Amino acid sequence: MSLGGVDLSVTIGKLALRNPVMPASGTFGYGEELADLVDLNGLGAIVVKGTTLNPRMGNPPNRFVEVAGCAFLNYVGLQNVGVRRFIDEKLPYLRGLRTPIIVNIAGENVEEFKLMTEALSRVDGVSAIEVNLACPNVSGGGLAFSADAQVAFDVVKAVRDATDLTVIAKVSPSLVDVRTLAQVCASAGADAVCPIWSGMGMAIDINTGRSRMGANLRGALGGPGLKPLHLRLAYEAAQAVSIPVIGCGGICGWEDAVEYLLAGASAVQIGSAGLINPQTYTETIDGLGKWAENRGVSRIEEVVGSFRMS
Amino acid sequence: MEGKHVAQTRAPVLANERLNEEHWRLTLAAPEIAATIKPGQFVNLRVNGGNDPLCRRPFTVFRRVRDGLGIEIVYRVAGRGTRLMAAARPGDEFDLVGPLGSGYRLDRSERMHILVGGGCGVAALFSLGQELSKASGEGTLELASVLGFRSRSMVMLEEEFTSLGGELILATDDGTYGREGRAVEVLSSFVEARGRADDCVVYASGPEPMNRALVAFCRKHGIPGQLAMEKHMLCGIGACLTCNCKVDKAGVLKHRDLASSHIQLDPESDIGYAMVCQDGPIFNVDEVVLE
Repeated sequence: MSLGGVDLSVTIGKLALRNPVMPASGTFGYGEELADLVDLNGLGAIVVKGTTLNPRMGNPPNRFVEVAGCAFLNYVGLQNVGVRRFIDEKLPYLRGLRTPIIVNIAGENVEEFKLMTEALSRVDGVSAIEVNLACPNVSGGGLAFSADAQVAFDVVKAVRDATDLTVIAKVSPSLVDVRTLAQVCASAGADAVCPIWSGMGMAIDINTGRSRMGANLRGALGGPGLKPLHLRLAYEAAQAVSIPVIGCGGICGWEDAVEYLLAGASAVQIGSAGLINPQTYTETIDGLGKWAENRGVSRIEEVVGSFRMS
Repeated sequence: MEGKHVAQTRAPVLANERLNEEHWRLTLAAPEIAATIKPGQFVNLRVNGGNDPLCRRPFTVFRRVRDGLGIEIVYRVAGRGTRLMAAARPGDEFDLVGPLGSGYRLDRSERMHILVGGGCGVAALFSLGQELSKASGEGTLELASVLGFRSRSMVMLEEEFTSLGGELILATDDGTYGREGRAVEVLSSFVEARGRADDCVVYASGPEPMNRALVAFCRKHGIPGQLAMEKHMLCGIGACLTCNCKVDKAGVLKHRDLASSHIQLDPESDIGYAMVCQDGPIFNVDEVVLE
């Protein structure tokens, strides 16, 4: 896509994105929910919600609470219709769009990742697989897959071997250094890596003395306050590998997106800001174009990693 | 999502009036939303353009005004977001997403249709009352309203509900205005005094204790009823799946086509989860599981 003479397109694996802006998985439903509010054909890509082999109930209430300091906790627990119903009921609508569709998959073990990848690779309309390594390794003790570099490698390798589609590794480097994880995913054949911390928080109602998250107790911290932490992760990942890095965390507008690109991210995912203001996507894409034009940048890819220490 | 159109719009404030100690009425110009909004549906309002407070606040629309170009919201000042709203002046703007949610299902059958409201929740019943009032004017049904408030100083919207016609019973918990007692207690004596319950249908909006009492009341008398669930929400459009509530499997299977809902049933028990924002906020009394 060219905006004011600026080429905003970026390449992630085999994907040519018209611009570097996409929603983060779990914040955009299956796309159709946002159709009245967002130009789905204007996005760089659409990442649908985390999909599991079998349908998931998800967590009990409360799954969401706003907390002071421009943040919230959320813990949906991967409620989704399962890969079969996704293909039968959700994919036909997405296939009608002109935007690449990225499916985030969350397995309970390596075998489930492989089965889902095979199923999604057999049908038309899926452009890439985002491997959710931040979900619990149920068969391996319950920690996140990316809590162990070898396990992360095994999962990405299994997905890589099962598909020719572009593979994005979404990793939570809370226990393994982000540089190590990025390298491991790259060597297992990932086309891109997207680091997210997914730190769990809690909140107590001081009037009742009870958990504001109900029986869930915990919830993943979200919101604009996450940006500095995730900007650092994107930077370090980009320093460690030559495959593209996708930045994600606290992006509320084009200024944040520019910062991620400068740090080394080739594309960005918008999460909470898009849920709160669906115009964020368009505003970010337009803002990126205008910023680049004002700076005399003709191709946005030139900006990626152009950050200078001083 | 078929047949629904959701808009995001910047709505200028036309008026922002204090109703009592805790409650305010905000009038917004929002023609696109006012054109299609149904009773019980809500708008998700962004308190300001910045990040603090971060999330939108959902408000059921009280009524359409100004020849269908505006909407009114009645809100209780309860926290930071609503305190900021109370400071809004004509000319300020709020970013709205709406109309959202399923709204009340209106059957217009020849029955006694009773609105049951508690506190700030009474406002969500008014536009439904307007539609029922129209039908009752045509002689096809009867309408009554039972509205409960904490105390005399919290009573509001009496004039508006009086204008609906039908019987209006006001009650306060402490007996300082109208009848003494909680809304559902007063509803119960109203139905008893009529001598029959089998022709009644109730539409409720109020706090959770009221909902629990209402569900028990409807169950006891076999009365069909709908109630409004309240929940903190993030997107309001069914994308984030964070505003879930527990639902009864048999209840939702009786009333709904699950394929066009966000409801997920637990294969191992008799409950499921529904999204308050899209499957609700209005539910049938036999669908909800209140704890």
